[in-house]
Amino acid sequence: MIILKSDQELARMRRAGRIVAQAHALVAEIIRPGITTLELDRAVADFIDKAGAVSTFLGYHGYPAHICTSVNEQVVHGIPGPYRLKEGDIVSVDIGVSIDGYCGDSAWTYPVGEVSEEARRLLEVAEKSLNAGIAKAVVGARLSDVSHAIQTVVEEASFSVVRDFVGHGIGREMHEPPQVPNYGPPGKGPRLRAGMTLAIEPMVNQGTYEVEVLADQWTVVTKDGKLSAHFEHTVAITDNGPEILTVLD
Amino acid sequence: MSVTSDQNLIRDRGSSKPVPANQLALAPGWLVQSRQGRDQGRFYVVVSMDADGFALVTDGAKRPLSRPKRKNPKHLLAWGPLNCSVGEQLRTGGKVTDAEISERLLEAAERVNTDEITE
Repeated sequence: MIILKSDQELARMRRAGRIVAQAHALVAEIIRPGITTLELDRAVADFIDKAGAVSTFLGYHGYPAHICTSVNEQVVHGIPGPYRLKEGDIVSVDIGVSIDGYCGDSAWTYPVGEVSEEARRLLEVAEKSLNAGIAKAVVGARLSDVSHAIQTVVEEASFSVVRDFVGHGIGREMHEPPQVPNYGPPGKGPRLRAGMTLAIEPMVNQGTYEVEVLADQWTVVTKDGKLSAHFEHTVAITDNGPEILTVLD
Repeated sequence: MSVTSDQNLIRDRGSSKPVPANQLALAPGWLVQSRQGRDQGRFYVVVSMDADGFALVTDGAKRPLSRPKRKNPKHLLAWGPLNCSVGEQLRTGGKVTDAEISERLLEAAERVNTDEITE
């Protein structure tokens, strides 16, 4: 069942979303060649704590960190560790918090220093596909209109969309129905209504869309070892159009 | 944080043309569709098989888990094992509610109808 949120609930989700956005602003500030992904995790954990929120990732099905850091061919759910980011890497940082019982969830893929032309194009297309998906998240549209818009942008640029992992509804829980795939024909699935809140998150691969999960049971990597990018916002569907909740004021 | 897709509700989607259920070994967690009787066309999930080889099926609604329907496999189309928590719970004997079943069946039915039966 898709849970519609009241104005009061949306206000709380806006608050959670803002904290996530602030955490991303912090990451953008400190990310540089030489910093470890664990240091990023610690910095964000510290910030979330000071903001009075909690990480929704830590302990989720046993997940051992506060954020996900997925470098280069890692698609999502990379676990922060001793890896030192180096010039030319791209790293998806995924952050989710809850405060007052409501969640916000957003991921951004950051270039570390100067990255290759192809990596830059991948990031641009992935971000553009997220925006295209969000633009379709309007009252009266069908859920798969969002999916289709994302897929179209990605495939027109000759990249591919991951199938095995998808976006999701979000609210009191980090993961609520419905699932939000990033591919598929338009005009299918539930009709979007005001008060629905979705985490829309295209995972865009440079090569094949096939992925594998590493032995740590979390880290998802591209099957062909090529780059992957991941962008995510928590979005509310309102009568005035889509509202991105995971943004700064 | 993304979730594992439930879109592959049915395993082996590549080969998921339905076959009459008496041609294969039905098992708990399979998605089936009635092809005979007043409930023709209705989707169910298999709860268990009885000693006579009949399937006890539920739709989580008209036929809840507490009162499954007994069907001759000959009168069922088999779509494949449900590849989701409901299917998993039924296979392993775990807890699952009627509401979860009916929701999953609606999703699965929509998918097989829209995607797979285009001939």
